Amino acid sequence: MEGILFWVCGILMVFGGLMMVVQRSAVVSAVWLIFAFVCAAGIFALLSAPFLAVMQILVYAGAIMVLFLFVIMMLQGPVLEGGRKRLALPMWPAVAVPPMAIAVMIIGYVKRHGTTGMGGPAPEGFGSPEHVAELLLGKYLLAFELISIVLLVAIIGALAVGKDERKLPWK
Amino acid sequence: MTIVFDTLAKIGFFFVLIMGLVVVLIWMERKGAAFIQDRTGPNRASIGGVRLAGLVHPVADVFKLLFKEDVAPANRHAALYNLAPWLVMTVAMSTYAVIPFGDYLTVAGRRVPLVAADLSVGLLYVLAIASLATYGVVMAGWASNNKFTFLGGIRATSQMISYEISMGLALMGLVLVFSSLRLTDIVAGQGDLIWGFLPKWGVVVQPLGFILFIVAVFAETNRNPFDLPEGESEIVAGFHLEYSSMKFALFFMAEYAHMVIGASLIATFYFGGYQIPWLPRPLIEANAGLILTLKLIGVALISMMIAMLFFRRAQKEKGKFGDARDREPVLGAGLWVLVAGGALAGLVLKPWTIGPVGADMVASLLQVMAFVAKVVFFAWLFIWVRWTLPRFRYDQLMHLGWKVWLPLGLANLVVTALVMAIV
Amino acid sequence: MELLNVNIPNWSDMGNWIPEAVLCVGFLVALIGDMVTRGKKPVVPFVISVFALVTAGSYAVAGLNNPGLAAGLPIMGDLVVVDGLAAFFRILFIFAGLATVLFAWTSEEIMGRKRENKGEFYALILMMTAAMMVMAEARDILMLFLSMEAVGLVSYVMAGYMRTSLRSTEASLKYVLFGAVSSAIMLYGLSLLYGMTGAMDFAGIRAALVSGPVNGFALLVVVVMIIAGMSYKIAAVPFHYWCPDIYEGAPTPVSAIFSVGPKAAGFALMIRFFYTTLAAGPDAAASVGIIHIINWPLLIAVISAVTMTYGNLVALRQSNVKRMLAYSSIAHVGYLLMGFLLLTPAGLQAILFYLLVYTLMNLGAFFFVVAINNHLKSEELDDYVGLGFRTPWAASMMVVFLASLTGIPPFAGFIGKFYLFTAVLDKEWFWLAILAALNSVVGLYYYFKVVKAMFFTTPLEGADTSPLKLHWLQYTVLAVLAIPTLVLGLYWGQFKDLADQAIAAMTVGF
Repeated sequence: MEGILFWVCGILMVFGGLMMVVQRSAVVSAVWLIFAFVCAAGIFALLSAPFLAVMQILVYAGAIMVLFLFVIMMLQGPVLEGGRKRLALPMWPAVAVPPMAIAVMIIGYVKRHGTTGMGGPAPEGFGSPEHVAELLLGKYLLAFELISIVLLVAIIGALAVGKDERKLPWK
Repeated sequence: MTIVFDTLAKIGFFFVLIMGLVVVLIWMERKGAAFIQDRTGPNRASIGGVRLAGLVHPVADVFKLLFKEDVAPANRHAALYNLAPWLVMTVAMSTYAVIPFGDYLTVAGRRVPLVAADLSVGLLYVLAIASLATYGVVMAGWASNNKFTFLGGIRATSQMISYEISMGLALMGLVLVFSSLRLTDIVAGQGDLIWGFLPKWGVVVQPLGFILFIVAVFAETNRNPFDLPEGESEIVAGFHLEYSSMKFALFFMAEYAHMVIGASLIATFYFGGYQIPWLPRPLIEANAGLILTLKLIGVALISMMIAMLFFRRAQKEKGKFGDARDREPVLGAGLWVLVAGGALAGLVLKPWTIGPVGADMVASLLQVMAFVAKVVFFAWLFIWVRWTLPRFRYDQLMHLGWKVWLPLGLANLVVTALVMAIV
Repeated sequence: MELLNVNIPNWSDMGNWIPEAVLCVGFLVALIGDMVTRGKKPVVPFVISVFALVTAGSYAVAGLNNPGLAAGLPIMGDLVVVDGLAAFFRILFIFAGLATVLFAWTSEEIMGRKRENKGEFYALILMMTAAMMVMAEARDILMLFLSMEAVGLVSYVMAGYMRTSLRSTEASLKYVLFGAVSSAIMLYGLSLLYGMTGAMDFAGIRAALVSGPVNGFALLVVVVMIIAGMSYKIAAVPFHYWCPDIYEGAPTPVSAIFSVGPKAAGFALMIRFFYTTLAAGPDAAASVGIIHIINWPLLIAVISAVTMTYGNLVALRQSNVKRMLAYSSIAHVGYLLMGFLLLTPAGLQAILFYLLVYTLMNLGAFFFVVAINNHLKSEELDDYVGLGFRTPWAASMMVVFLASLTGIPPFAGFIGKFYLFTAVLDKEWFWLAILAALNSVVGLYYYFKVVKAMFFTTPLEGADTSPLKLHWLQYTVLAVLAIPTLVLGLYWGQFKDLADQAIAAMTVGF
C-alpha cells in the first residue's frame, strides 16, 4: 500500500515539476508547482514525517506560493497572453533532461549499492511535532537561530531596496 | 478493513451534516436577514402549496442552478476556470477530516473515535487546508479574464495571507494551554473544570485568543465584514462574477461550507467541541436512563407547545388566502403533534432501564448533538454579523490585520507562554 | 535513535563565540539606532558598527591564545566549531569588515547626499561579517548551506544598495539569479551526499565514505555539484559570470568587500569541507583513496588553469579599472585553487597565507578606486591619467598594491605566490606551475597599465591637473593596508606560522 502511494506521489510530483517547467504562462506554472508541493507533502507523510508534510503544505504550498501567485498575477495581469500555445517546446528538453538523467543515475546507484546509514522502520514518535521541536531547540538550535537571522536580513533588505520612492526625504 | 469502513461512515456523516447545514444555513441567512431588516423574507416557493416557511427555496435554487445554461467567458483559461469551483469545494470539505464531533462510539464492542482522521498535527492540518482555500478563489479570479474577478482574486490573496498569521498565532496560545496539536486532545482538555465550577473552555483560558481567532476566521471565510473579494458595490461580484449555473452553485455552497467549518472550528477550539459543560461523559453514562427520560419528556413538551402555536395561527388566519396555503398551519400543528407523540411513545420503552450499550450510545448522541448545536449557533453568528456590520474598507482591513491583530496575537502568545511557565 | 529526550545545548560554549554574538547584537543595535536617530550622516550606526567590529576583533585576537583551539571548540552542539582555521578567518573577516566600514564612511557612492538607507549599510556589513565567520566555522551540511545563504542574502542587498542607480539594481538582480541557481545546484549535490552517506556532519560523511564502498561516479557528481556552488562564491571560472558585472555595478566599497570577504569565506568553507571529508584524518591511506576515486587533482587543476588564464586574458582588454580588478580577482582565484590540488597541509597553508595577503592588497586597490571615484566620478583608465601627480601619496600606495597583486619580489604578493607554486611543484604538477608563471607575466601588463596611466602618460591639453585632496580617513586606511603589504614581503614568518597553525589545528581537531 505504502509502496503504491509512494510511486503515485512520486510520479505525480515529477509530472507536476515537468509541467511547471514547460508551461508558457507563469500563473499556470505556479499552479503546477503547488501541485508538486502537495505531492511532496504526500511523500513526507509516507516517510512518517507528518509534521513536515503539514508544514510543506502550510508554508510552501499555502503561504509562499500564494505570494508567488500574487506577484505573478500582478505582473502578468488578467490578460492571458499566448494562451493557446501551451508548451515552450524549444526550451523544455534542455531544462528537463539533466534532472531526469540524474534521477535515473540515483535510482541505478541505489539499486546497485543500496543506501548506507539509513533504512529500517522509523522509531516511535519519529517526525512528530515533539520530535521536530526537540531537534530544533536542541541539536539544531544554532541553525534555527541562523535561519531567523537570515530571514531578518531578507526582510530588512527587501525594505531597504523596495522602500516607497515617493516618501524619500528629498522629494 | 473495518477502519476503512469506519472512516467512510464518518466521512458520510460529515458530508450529510455539511450539505444539510448548507441548505439550512441558506434558509437561515435569508430569514435572518429578513428578520433583521424587518421584512418577511422568502415565502413564494412551494410544493403543493406547502412552503415550509421558505425552506423550499434552497431546493428550488438547486433545481434552477442545475438546469441553467452554463455561460462562460470566451477568453477564459479553460482548465483553471473549470478547476477553481471544485477546488474550493474540495478544500472546504477536507478540513473536516480532523474535527472530532464526539468522543467515541462503541460499535459491536469496538471503540470508534468520532473523528475521521485523528492526526497528531491536526491543528496545523486545519491551518494548512485553510491556506489552500485561497487558491480556488485566486484561480477563479484570474482564469475568468475579467478585471473585476481579477481584483477579487487579488484581494482574496492579500486578505487571506494577512489573517492566516494572526489565526495561527491565536491558535498557538491555545496549543500552549492544552500542550497538544491533536484536536481530540484539545477538546478532551476542555472537558475539565477550573476551580471546580468554570469549564476549561478555550474561550475561558484564551479570551483574547478567541477574539483574534474569530475575527481571523471571519476574514478567512470571506464573509462580511470582510467580504472584499466579493464586494458587490465595488467590484460587482468579485471572483465568481463570470460563473454561472452549477459552477456558481459550487462557490455558493463552498461559502456556506466554509461557514460551517468556521463555526465548527470556533466550537472545537474555544467552546469545548462536543463537551457538554458540567456533564462529563462518565456522568452521562451513569445517568443515561434518567437523562434520556427527561429528554424525551422535554421534547414532547416543547413539540406540544409549538403545535399549539401553529394551531392558534390556523384559527386566526382561517380562509385568509383562499387556496392551498390555508392548510399550512394545520399541517404544521399536525407535524409537531406527531413529534410529541413519538417522544411520548418512546417512554413506553422504559428508557430509564437502559443498559450500558444504550448508555454509551446516549452519551455519544448527546455529545454529537451538543457539537451540532454549537456549530449551528456560531453559523447563526456569522449570519448575524453579516447583516449587522458594514463592510471594511480595504486599507482598514490591512491595517487591522497587520498592525493590530498581528501584534495582539504575538502579545497573547508571549503572555500565555509566561503564564504557563509560571503556573 | 533516542527520541523525546530534550537536550538543550550548553550555553557556556558561547564564551568562545563572543565575536559572532557581538556582531549580531551590533547589527540589531545599529538598525534600531539608525531608526531612532536622524541626521545627514548616520553617525550612530557607523559608531556602533565600528565599536562592534573592534570589540569582536579584540575578542577574536584574544581567542587565538585559547589552548582549546588546537582541539577545536564546539559551539552549542556539533554544528560549528571554533578551531585554528576559524580563528584565522575570523580575524581576516573582521579586519576586512572594519576597513570597509571606515572607507565607506568617506565614499560618495554610499554616503552621498541623495543616498538613502545609509544606516542599514553599516548594519548589513556587520551581519555579513558574522555570516562569513559562521561559514568558516561550519562543520555540518546544514550550517554550511545556511551560512552561505546568509552571506548571499546580505550580498544581494548590498549589491543593489544604490537602488536609484540602474546598474546597481541590475547587479543585484544578476547576483540573486546566479546565486539562486548555484545554491540550488549545490543543495542538490549536498542532498545526494546525504543520501549516499546518511550523515549531515562532515565527520560522519567522512566516516561513511571511508567505511563503505564508494561509487566513484556518484561521488564525482556530488563533488562537482558542490564545487559548482562554492565556485560561485569564490568566482571560479564556469561560475564567474556574475563577478565583473556585479563588481562594476555595485558601489565600490561593496565590491571591495565582495572581492575579499565572500571569496575568503568560500575558500574557508571549501578547505574545511573537502579537507575533512576527502583528505584529512588519522587513516591517511584511506583518505588518499577517497581523493583518487574521483581524480580530484586533475579536476581542480583544470578549474584552476582555466580560471587564471581566463581572468588574466580578459583583464587585458578592460578600460574600466573596477572591471579590470574584477577580472584580476578571478585570476587570483585561479592561483589560490592551485593550493587545493592535493589537499595537502602545505597547499592549504599557502592558500591561507595568500588569502591574507590578497585581502590587504585587493582591498587597497579597490579603496583607491573609491577614493578616486569620489572626486572624478569615474573609474575609466583614461581618467586616471596624471593621478600620480595630483595625489602622489595615494597613487604610490596604489602602485604598492598593484605590484603586490602582480607578485613582484619585494612585496607580499610574491611571497604568497611563492608558497602556492612550491605546493604545486612539490607534487610535480609542472605544467600548472608554468601556466601560473606565464599568467603572472600577463598580469604584469595590465596592472602596470594603471601605473603607466597614473605616472607616465602626459595628460591631454586642458585636462584638470589640480591636486586632489583625500579624506584623512582614506589616507589612514590605505596606509594601514599598504604598509603590511610591503612589510609582509620582507618579514612574513610570523604570519606564515599563523596560517600553518590554523591548518595544523584543524588536522588535530578532526
